[in-house]
Amino acid sequence: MERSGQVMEAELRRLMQEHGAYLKRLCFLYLKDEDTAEDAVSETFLKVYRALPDFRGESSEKTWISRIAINTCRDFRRAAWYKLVDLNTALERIPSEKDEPTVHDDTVMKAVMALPRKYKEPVLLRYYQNLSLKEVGEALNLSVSTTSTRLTRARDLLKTKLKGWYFNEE
Amino acid sequence: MKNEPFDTIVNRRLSGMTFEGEQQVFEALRAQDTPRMPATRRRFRLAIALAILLTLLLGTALALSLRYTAGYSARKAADTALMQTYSFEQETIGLFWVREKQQGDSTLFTYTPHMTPKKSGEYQVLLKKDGKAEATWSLDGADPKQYESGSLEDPIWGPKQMNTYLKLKNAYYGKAAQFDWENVSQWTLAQRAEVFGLLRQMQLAYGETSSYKDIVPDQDDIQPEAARQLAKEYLMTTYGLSEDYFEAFTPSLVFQESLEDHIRRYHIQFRNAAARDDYYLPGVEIFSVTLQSPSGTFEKTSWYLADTAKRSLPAGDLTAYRQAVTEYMDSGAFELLCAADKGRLAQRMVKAGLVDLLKDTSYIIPGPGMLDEKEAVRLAQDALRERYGLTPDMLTLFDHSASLLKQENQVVWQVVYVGRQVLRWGGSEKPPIGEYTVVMQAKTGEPTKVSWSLDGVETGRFTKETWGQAKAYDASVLPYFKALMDAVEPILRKYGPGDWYDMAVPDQAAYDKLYRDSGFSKERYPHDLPGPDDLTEEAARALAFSALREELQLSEEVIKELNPVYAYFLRYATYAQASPDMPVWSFRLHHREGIYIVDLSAQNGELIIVKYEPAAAGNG
Repeated sequence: MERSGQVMEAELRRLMQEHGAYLKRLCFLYLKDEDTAEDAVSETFLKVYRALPDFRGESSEKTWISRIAINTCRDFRRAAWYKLVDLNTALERIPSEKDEPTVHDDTVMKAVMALPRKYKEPVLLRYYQNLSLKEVGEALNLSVSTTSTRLTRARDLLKTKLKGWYFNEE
Repeated sequence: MKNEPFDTIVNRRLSGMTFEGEQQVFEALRAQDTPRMPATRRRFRLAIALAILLTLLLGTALALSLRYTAGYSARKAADTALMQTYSFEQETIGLFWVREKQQGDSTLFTYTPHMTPKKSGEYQVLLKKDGKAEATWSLDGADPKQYESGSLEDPIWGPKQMNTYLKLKNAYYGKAAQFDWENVSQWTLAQRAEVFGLLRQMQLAYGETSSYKDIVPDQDDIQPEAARQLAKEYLMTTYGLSEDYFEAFTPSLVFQESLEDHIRRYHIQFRNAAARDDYYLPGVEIFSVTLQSPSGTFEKTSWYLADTAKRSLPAGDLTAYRQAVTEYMDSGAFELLCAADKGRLAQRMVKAGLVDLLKDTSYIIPGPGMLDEKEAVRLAQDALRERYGLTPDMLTLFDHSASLLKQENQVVWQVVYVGRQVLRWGGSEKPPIGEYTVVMQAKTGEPTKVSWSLDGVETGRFTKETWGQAKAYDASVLPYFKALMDAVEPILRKYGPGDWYDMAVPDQAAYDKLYRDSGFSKERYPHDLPGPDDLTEEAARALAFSALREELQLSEEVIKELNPVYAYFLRYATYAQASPDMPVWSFRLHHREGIYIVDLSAQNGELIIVKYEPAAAGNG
């Protein structure tokens, strides 16, 4: 059965306000292109709207939306046009809100963005969306042990890349 | 900077990156009020079709000829120019959302696809005063080799790809509509694998992928009956329930393989009778379990109860029930307990090593020398009346929860009043009535804190006619709010929570008028009753059907299949050419998974919008 259109639209508006910016950044880190990230977030929220009647709260709202966003990013990456068209937005071109005249050190972000997909996904959900290990597993449809293994491997890769710069144990 | 959390780094560095596409998302959804046809309505398809036929007969007499608003004629000319220039098919136009902008004497129409805007680009049509139209594509300058084959694998999607995409996706919806989804939970695994396999192939053809497929178990897998039994036993263990508890539940089973890690999983549900039709109805109870095969590892489990108060925990030691207690706490069931039961349960949780689930709160069991709960609640009400002017009648809009707590070495009563959720409330899930908290000494009842979550929000002075503009509903506004809730309740009660699309025109009008009369915006509550100078619903409906026949060339066969048909009378609509001077009759006519939309002037019948939103535009 359906929920009222007004209720659903109000709910969608709330979800966009609450999660929009986070998802945009998540999708950007995943897809490496700001415009594509914007498209992916729009697509995510359209899917969210269509799936709202079926959302039963079996996972947290954040986990649920993150899962849809990650799946959307995967679809975008799989698309032929994504592989063929150079979409990368150079990180240097992205100003921060206050755009202070400081030099940004993007070492960590670049290292995460360069991770292979199977490691990048759990890292983004765990360390950017701050989901628990269990929630990351739910979002990626992985067991907790597989999730844990991938995160460990991701940290190993990052440790190598960021040697002497940054590392933060879980 | 080193050793900063990753989210801090990202949020600071990308602080300027926000999501700007809210409007685009709503534009894509606009006019797509797309409830799938509820099961109950399907059963009455024939009766409704007959009713439509009767309307058609009546309509033939009324609809002498169609008239067009200037806006409709302009849009039609722009659509035609686009179709002719780029060989779009009529139906494909429904994949675009269209913006309109005046440029001197000309009108510029911009067509943005609902899907894949990046690879499809945008189209524009400049319609000049003399009626000449010029269509352009943002990717006109791209190398034609990138799209001329028409393959969906091409890096750019031109008109050919969009026409193909629509056909393939419509074929998918057409095929999907042939199956008996009402009983999908009862399908065998073989049926599921066959249907979903077929549909997945069809989805792949237009580029939609999924991360799993439905399969049937092979000889090494746990077999379905064993999986059901294992799941039931696991649920009994997880929630401390007896086998008898499951007697009134019906199991359903899905078996899928992940296309990424190739793990095979059973998703098993046990639903009670109330859960057959609707998740949101009172009494619904659903257990869900995910079981890997052949390993027999359980991944996820949950127990959904629509009535939180009915959730229970096993008696005795809770050490083995972390999952059950976690769900209990997350569901809000704990807050519904009396203070003594909270204290007792908290004690059991501490004993079982589950103190982390209490989130740093120390609950105490009320004892001698302390105020009892009833007295604490009474004193809290006194404090709220004194500080905020809240009367007992106003407090009926809130749920309250009392707890005896240990805070900073003092034992205190905490009474919290939380605003109830209001059905169909616009803007957010809850009206801005906030949450009140009273903390008082457990022995004396002396308040140490009386607060409102909306303290600091400007409340202003409002009357019965203007209070809808208030940002926070304080005691001066709550009586008006309660009166409105009491007034709309009989209207909403006529319809189920998901059936407001069915609201008859007089009820839509009565409902919105109540809100308008309270100071809510007429744009948000635009429905009204047609006046003596307006077309009747029957006449408008007949014109709408004529428009579908003549403008979109719908066959009688399709006309007969339009079901359900939703009618709305909007006196204060803010879109298209509607205005208080031009109230609108708006019809949404569902056909399979797509929707035909007809908006027309309620005063002279001129057409404002006649279009088809295919399922592929996001209606599915």
